[in-house]
Amino acid sequence: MSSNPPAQSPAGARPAVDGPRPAAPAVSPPPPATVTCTIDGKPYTFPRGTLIVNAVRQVGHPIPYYCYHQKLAPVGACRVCMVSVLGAPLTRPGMGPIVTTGCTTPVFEGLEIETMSEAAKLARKQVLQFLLINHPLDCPVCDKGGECDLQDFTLGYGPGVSEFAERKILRRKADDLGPFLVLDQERCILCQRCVRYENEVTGEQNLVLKERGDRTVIDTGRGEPYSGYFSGNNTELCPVGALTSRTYRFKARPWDVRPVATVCQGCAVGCNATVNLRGDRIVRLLLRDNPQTDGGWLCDRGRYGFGHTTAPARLDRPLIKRNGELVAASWEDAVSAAAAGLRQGAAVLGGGRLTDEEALLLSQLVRVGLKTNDVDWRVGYQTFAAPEAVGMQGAQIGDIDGADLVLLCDTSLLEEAPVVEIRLRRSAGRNTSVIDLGPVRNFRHGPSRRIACAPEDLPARIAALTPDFQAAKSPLIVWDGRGGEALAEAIRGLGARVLVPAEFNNARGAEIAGLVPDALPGYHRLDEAAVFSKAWGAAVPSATGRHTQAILAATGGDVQALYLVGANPLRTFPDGALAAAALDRVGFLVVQDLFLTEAAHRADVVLPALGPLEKEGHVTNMSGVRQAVRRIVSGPSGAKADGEIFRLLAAALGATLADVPAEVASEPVRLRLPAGSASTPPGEGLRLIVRPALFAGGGTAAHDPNFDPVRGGTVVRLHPEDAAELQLAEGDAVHLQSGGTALRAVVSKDGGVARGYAVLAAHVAGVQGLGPRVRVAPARAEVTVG
Amino acid sequence: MPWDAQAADAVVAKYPSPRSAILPLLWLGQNSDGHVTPETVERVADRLGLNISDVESVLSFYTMFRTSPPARHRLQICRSLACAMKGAEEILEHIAAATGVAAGEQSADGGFSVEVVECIAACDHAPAYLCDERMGGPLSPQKALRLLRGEGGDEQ
Amino acid sequence: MIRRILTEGIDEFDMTRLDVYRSRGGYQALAKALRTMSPDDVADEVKTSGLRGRGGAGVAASFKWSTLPADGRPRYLILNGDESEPGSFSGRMLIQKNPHMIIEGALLSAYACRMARVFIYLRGEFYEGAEIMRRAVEEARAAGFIGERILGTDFSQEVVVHRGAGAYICGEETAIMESLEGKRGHPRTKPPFPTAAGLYGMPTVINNVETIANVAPIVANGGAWFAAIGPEKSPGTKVCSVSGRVRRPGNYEIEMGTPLRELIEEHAGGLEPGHELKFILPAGASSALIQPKNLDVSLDYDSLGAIRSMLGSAGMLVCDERDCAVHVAYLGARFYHHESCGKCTPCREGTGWTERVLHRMEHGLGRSGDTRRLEELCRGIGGRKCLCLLGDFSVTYLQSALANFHDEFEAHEHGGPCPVTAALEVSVR
Ligand SMILES: Cc1cc2nc3c(=O)[nH]c(=O)nc-3n(C[C@H](O)[C@H](O)[C@H](O)COP(=O)(O)O)c2cc1C
Ligand code: SF4
Ligand code: FES
Repeated sequence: MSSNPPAQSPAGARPAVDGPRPAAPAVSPPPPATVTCTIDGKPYTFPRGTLIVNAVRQVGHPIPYYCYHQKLAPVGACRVCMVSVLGAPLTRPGMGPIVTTGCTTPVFEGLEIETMSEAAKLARKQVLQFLLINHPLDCPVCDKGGECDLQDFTLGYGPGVSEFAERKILRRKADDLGPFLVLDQERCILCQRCVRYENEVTGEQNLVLKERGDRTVIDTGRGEPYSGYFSGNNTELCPVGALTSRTYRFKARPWDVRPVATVCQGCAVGCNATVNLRGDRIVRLLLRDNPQTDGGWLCDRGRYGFGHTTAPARLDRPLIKRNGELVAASWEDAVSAAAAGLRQGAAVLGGGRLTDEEALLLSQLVRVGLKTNDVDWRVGYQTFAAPEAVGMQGAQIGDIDGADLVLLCDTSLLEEAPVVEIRLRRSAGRNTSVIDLGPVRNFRHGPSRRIACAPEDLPARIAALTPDFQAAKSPLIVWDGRGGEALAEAIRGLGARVLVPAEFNNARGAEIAGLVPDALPGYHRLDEAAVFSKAWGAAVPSATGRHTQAILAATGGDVQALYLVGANPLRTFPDGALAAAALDRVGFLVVQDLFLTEAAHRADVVLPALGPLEKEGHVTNMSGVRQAVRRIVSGPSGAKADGEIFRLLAAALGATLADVPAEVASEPVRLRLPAGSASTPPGEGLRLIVRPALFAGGGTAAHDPNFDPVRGGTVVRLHPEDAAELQLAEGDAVHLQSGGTALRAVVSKDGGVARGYAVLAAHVAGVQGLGPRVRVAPARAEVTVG
Repeated sequence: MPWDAQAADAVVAKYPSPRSAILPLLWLGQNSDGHVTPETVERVADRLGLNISDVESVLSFYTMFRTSPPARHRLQICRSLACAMKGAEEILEHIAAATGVAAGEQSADGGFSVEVVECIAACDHAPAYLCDERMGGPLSPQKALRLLRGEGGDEQ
Repeated sequence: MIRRILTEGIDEFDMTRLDVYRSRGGYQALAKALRTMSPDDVADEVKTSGLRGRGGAGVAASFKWSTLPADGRPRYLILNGDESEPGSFSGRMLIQKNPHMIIEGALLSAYACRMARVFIYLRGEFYEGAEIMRRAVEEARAAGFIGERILGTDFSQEVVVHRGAGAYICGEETAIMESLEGKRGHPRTKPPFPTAAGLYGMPTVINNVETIANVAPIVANGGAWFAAIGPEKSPGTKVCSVSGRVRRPGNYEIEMGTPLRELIEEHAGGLEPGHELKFILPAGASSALIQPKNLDVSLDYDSLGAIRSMLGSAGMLVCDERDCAVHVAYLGARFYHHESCGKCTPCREGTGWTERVLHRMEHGLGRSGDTRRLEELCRGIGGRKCLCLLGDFSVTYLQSALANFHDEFEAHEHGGPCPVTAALEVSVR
């Protein structure tokens, strides 16, 4: 496979320059950094470039505005932010003040601003009257009621009565715009915030202006559903009730909700958010800007992923298998049954969804309760969480902004750390060049250099990029840790900082806590076990444990019991056949989870756990930033926090868990990585690769009713030419066959997939059971799916 | 010039930024198919590296692009100031009475359509019109009916 | 004395043909400039000429050119041939009948300003005009006037003919740039002005096609020659479009300073027989009306400004006693409502509201207070509250009509038949 030419920017408008070039620019001394102007008669000093709209607000003379927004470029469309101004060059000497828009005018030396002049007040009043003439005035049934700028500014600055007595223009109302958004065109005041967000921030242009004049509406290009991952931000940008959330529809008024700060645990970015509670139910999540992590945005998975807290399918009491059936049991019985089963030859898998504190407790429980180092959080494709743990230099999320070269190593920020992709899209349009390397195109919303290659060729391709990295000033590599030592070695060779999106939201916390077979908490060497023994008051084994693959392979042998903590290897482990066989073979299986997963179905004891919004502690994000999380809702009454369950189990095993982490000082250990992916031998069919997808699977998302609309059938992505060769069209139902198993899927043609590959979403039922090659055949006749 | 990749490339090459070729490429599509088809929008988006929604948004701003097939003959009658003063509205009424086709409508057999347009910069020929692509005037009720039958009129 | 510069020979000869144009001295100014003059020399001639923009505001061409920053970035020249103001059609004639003069002027201007490229933006409805202009460009290119190393000199220049697709707003100088960049024709905020950051963010000059057409004769005959024609502050000629209630509607090139009366009564043949002048809109639908008592005003930028109207594009719409001031206002309002781009609230909502009120008044459904409401609407939309002047344009005539024909508006408040029409019917009977 060869590298493709650089892609076009979707925004397209990076103009080429042409023609003759006149003389070079003259260098003039930099103007002073601050300017002094007067606002309503008093002098104030502001940094140069401060817009009037912000200046007057800072000194407590706020003016209304709709189209202006701190996070977007000014456009000057609504014309409501009018103030009177006096001062050259805005006004000529001898001329009186004029009204102008505060959002498009920066303050300058000597400017005199009057916010409450009669002319400004009248102009604002007239604009507010204009904005309401075609508005339906349906405030009583509008979700924005109580926090609507149209209501508030009309009250504060508008006319008491409208002079308008003509017929209003009617438009589409209450239109479901894709899975999460509701669009009410009649309420739209055409401030273009959503359109500019789609343009400047996501670059997806899901929402655009259509038609013109007072027939202008906001809509998707062809009225199709909104398809991006960042739709919900629009509901907060919209100053009126034109774009609202389906999940919040008719649920509450802003004055009967209680705001609580939280950290999203949908993925390892750890975006900050504010939960709104009505009584004890979550009704919505709102932005709570943190420049270091989220940069002021949320993805839809984070924003709408709270439905699992009240999902009917939540486990709310322990289950014990009796005569092949899982039946309800008391916590006492379940814990003692679990402890009895785990007492001999147990191994533990999972932990990437715990809090930091809980992960540390589990780490202790494994060592002093189960007396083993057979523990591993890595139950999926990811092979490590912290770059430092494998000899690389870690990066902060914000480093993307200043990076001049970003290598996406077979990794999709969009699917694995969505809000971080927004940063890359914005900088890719400016000073950052992006290299998109791997069998699938991962960066689709900005210019990039695409290098298609097979997974096993990644190390060689990366080595070939050395000159690019040597030339770059602040290069960065994004790698989700899929693959093995050979790839890691190649990446180390580039000497750049590495950002690692995680498969599980607190993978990093789990790894630091020592939920790995070859290190103790804090990446301490196993031969320091004695120190831990002392701190924890019990013997800590020092023999290296087994990693996930080895544990699964050893079930039925000397791994007699398995304890899955928030883990379902049947869906996540790349070798699905091994995972299935392992769970069938194992003598005793304990599953601790929120829902009755496929693994839980096979368990001997099921322990119901509380979810991310239901317990407190800390989580560590993909860059190693620790953030506190709080208990926001109570969760099912019969479920317990994972940490509490660990303590109960420990007690049943005759151990006590210490509260304090062990204080040890030494060089951190370097984790061992698997050798790496071998190339798939040639054979029949297409090479199957499985890649993360935002709404596929996940411990909570897979069961969240809010995501029902986005969980379509299984989709297989094929290069259009491969599809053509197989005589398959978009949307065709197919069977993917490999060995004795088959999976039904729907075809999606995707030019971003390299030829010869079939791409499926990870963490989806049935996907992990397929082998490295699949035959793709039309599903004309119903075939029984193995 | 019919739409083909080469013609499109030639258009794009004229501009410092590919995006500038949106209108010319949409024209190319409309001229070859009679209207701007969804496929044209997709091809334009693809050729210029734009989102389909972006092209749709631009398309909907400009009134001369059609998104459905036109009638065989299209009579566009200017109704702005000079032309209205010289009887454009009366001609429209006359056409409606004689053919049953009002402004903005198409005849049942698709033979012709009658549209109103704002000033076409031919006020000296008021009431002015565009018949298919030819500008003309002054229009009379009789001439309007002839034009709708495809019999042609005078040229301005 | 009738002096014709831009329309000289166009009725007698097919000036769209390059050979004809050349046989009448065409492209000699270009040759002279490229061989004997520096770019600054050409710019100086235009400065000396005092040529003012013919597109509306009457800004001196040399002023715009002189504000281009010398910062090494590529610069662009846009010829504004969007011509969509109701009542203006002089550009159409120049484009169709004298395209080479426009092209030659464009090349000279581009040379003077060191432009990277020239775009001729023509409104979409000019199907024939665009064909003629394209053919002329191709002919000029074949003859070596466009392209690489023009006439064997170091000067190279590309000229692109670009067609709009139905939008009056794209005649506005920032909307035309958005449209040329392939976007919706939404005006931009100013500053930055186009000469600082225009097309593709680069320094850009936008001039009307007629403005640019003047450059070739100026270079050929010298700026002083041009400056001597007409009044000192409005030199040159202007092609005036006369339409409405005159005997001979059409385009007439007159020397600046010619009295309006001469244009209407002599060139355009006076009013239709038996009718009486009521008012004139001198710059299309967007200008304040001129009353018959001002018929002797001299046609130049300053004289018309002095009577609180404007020369603008000189699209003279002549109205007689049959034209009700409310009806004309309604026609104008309908146009601006249709053409508002929709970006600014006052213009987007206000033009629609104004049309709806006037529509009612026109159809016998006036309500008491409508006249006052219209006055308030004018204040709400006008007064430079919008990004571009379309909003202001939409109320300029209306405001002057409200002031001059207040009683006609008030009469329409009370339902009933239009008094103007009613009076006509009486006189016919
Ligand atoms: C709404 C609006 C429409 C305009 N339409 C035109 C037009 O059709 N042709 C034109 O030359 N200028 C038009 N103008 C004026 C242009 O903005 C600009 O001033 C002019 O093209 C400059 O050329 P000049 O300096 O040669 O006159 C319009 C302005 C506005 C606000
Ligand atoms: S004044 Fe009207 S036409 Fe001009 S930018 Fe604003 S909305 Fe558009
Ligand atoms: S906030 Fe200033 S114009 Fe909208």
